Parts: sequence; C-alpha cells; structure tokens
Amino acid sequence: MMVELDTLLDELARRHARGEPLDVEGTLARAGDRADELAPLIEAFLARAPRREPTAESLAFVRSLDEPPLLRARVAKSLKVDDVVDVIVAECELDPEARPKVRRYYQQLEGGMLDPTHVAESVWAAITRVMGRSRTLLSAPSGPAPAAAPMYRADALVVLDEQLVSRAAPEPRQSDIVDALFLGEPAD
Amino acid sequence: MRSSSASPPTSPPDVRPARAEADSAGLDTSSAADYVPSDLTSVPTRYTEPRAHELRERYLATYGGDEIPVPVESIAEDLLGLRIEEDDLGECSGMLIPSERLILVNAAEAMSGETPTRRHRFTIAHELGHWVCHAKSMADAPTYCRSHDLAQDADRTLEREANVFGAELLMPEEAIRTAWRGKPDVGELAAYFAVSALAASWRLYSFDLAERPA
Repeated sequence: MMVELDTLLDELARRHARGEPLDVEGTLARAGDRADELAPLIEAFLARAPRREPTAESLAFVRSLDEPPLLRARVAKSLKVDDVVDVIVAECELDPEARPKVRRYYQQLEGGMLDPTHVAESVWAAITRVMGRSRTLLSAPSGPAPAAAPMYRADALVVLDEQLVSRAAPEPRQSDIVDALFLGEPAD
Repeated sequence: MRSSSASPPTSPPDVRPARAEADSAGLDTSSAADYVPSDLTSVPTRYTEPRAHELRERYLATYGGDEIPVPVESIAEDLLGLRIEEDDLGECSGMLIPSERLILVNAAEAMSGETPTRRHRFTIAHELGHWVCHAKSMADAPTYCRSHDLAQDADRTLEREANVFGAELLMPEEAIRTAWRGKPDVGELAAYFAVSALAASWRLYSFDLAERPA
C-alpha cells in the first residue's frame, strides 16, 4: 500500500526539524509511482524551511571534495611530496639529478594539471604502491581548480607587462625520459 | 625553480627607501621590510584569523614536527598541494595563480643574503591567506598586492586579510608571548620565528608587548 504524499512530506519535515538526515532518495522511493509529484513538494519545502547549519563533519567532507584525489590520498597517509617523489625516482630507476623535474611533474599530476592517462604505468605503479590505493581512485577526475584570477604582490609600483601575464605559455624544451614518463612522449 | 628551504636567517632585514615617484603617484612603496605586517596597525589588537591557526594545527596533526618556525613552504606544498616556484616577477614579490595551484615568488629577492628567505616566507604565508580565504570566491579582475595595499589606511580588505593570515600563521600569539617572556629581544624573536625584525615588532605591538615600530 502506497504511503500518502502528505504523510511522506510530514515525515521529512519532522526529520528536518530534528536535524536528522533527510533521506530524500528513500522518501522518493517510498512514493513509488508518485515520486515525480513528491519531488517538487520536497523542493518547495526545502526552499522555505529554515536553513540548517552544516555539521563540522559534513562541512569538512564537502570541502575535501575540492581537493584532487591524489592530494587527498597523500595527506591521508601523512606523506609529503618528497616521500612520493623519492619512491617514483627509486622505482623508475631514474637518475637522482632528474629528481627536481620529477617533483615538478608529480605536483602537476597531483594538482590535476597533467593528464593522468599519459603518465607511464611504472610511475603509477610507484604511486599506487606508496599510496595504498588503486589507480582508478587516485586518477579520478576532481572538481575544477579555482577559477579565480591571479593575484600579485609587490612592494613598488607595478606595471603588469605581457611577459608576466603570459608566463603560463609553455616553454620550448628538449624531451627526456622524465618527460616520457609523465607526458607520454618518446624520449630522444 | 623551486624556492629555497634554507634554515631561518638571523641577519637583520634589508630596509630600502621609499620611492618618491611612486609616492607622487599615490602609492606607498615603503621599504622591503615595511611591507610585511604594517597593515596590522589598522587592525584591532585582538583581531584574529582562526583559519591560520586551523591550518597550522592541521599540518601538525598530519605531519608533526616543530611548531616554530612554522613550516610555511611545507604547509603550502605538502598539506595544500600548492606548488612554489621562483620566477622573474619584476616588481612583484609574489603571485598566486589559483587555477594552477601555483605560488610564484620573486627570484630576485633571493639574491641578497639570507634575508630574502624571510621575505619569501611571508610572501608565501600571504598568498596562502589568499588561497584559504579568497581563492574560491574572487572576482575575475586581478588583485594587485602592492605595498599601498598593506598600509594602515588601505581599504583593501582582501590584502589586509591575507596579511593578518600570514602574520598569524607565522607568529602564533601564544608562541610569541612565551618566547617574549623568555627573552624580550626583537632580533632573537625574529630569528626564532624566521620573520623580519619589523614583522616581529609589529606583532609584538599588536599584542601590546612593545612600542609601535618607528
């Protein structure tokens, strides 16, 4: 027997008043074929109901969603960037002199600036081993980076020239093994 | 291109004269050291930035280590996943590019002894203030962080917030008070916190522990 929509809405409103999870999906499921009628009623209720302050836990969870998955995983294991870079350099048997470049690439990968599908299997093997998580989880797409404009800090009168603004333009470079590992390009 | 992570310097900060031409243009381009915490004079003495404390405590809970000097580079890179690079920024001390999770510090400021390390530390702390407090809600227009923005009468809330954030991140009140009780010497305090002497002086002043810096 299908529960009346008014009853379902009343239950949801009482849960809201008590500060409990609303379980909107469950409520809609109980409405059966009339879920499409109930959904706008719930929306109307939520639009008018007093706004509930998020709990510290829920706020932390939502904020954590802004962080790229690699970053989240690394911090969760109390690993520093250098810890991961050390493992990549060692397991990929790279020259220690390549370390700064590996570090830069790893940070770009972690921040979502590199396409994870272009990164070599050997690099991912090192990363997944030290992180203890699967590549699928670690390379899952994250939310967009903050779209805020650059901010500059200066002591004196600033004339923002084109060179400064356009610094993001890629610099000509000679590919090497590290480029190949992170960009998928063949080493010369 | 990475910024230095050298040990905290102990030499006094470099102080340069203000530029008259910039003054005539309405810009306060006071000395290199002045830029650090001078805006704190415009802030009530009990103004605090809890997000700076939360960030520092989160770092310590995650990675442990010494609280002082605050590992601001590691907070940026290891905890927040930001990159720090040095670059030729002309007159700019630093720059935050949120979409690249990138903090740029002026490479030229790393070329006159150890003092610039302290400058970089505060620049990074300042940009972290922008990242934590503003990065996700800023308008499209660039924000220029000039020394004028940091002056006492500056009407630049974002810059002031970033400065307060930087000061509170690098110089926690309790640690400042404890260190000052132990040895009330500005130079040693500044060296201990790896900030400029003037930064330390303004911080002390904000707690009513010392006279207003000249």
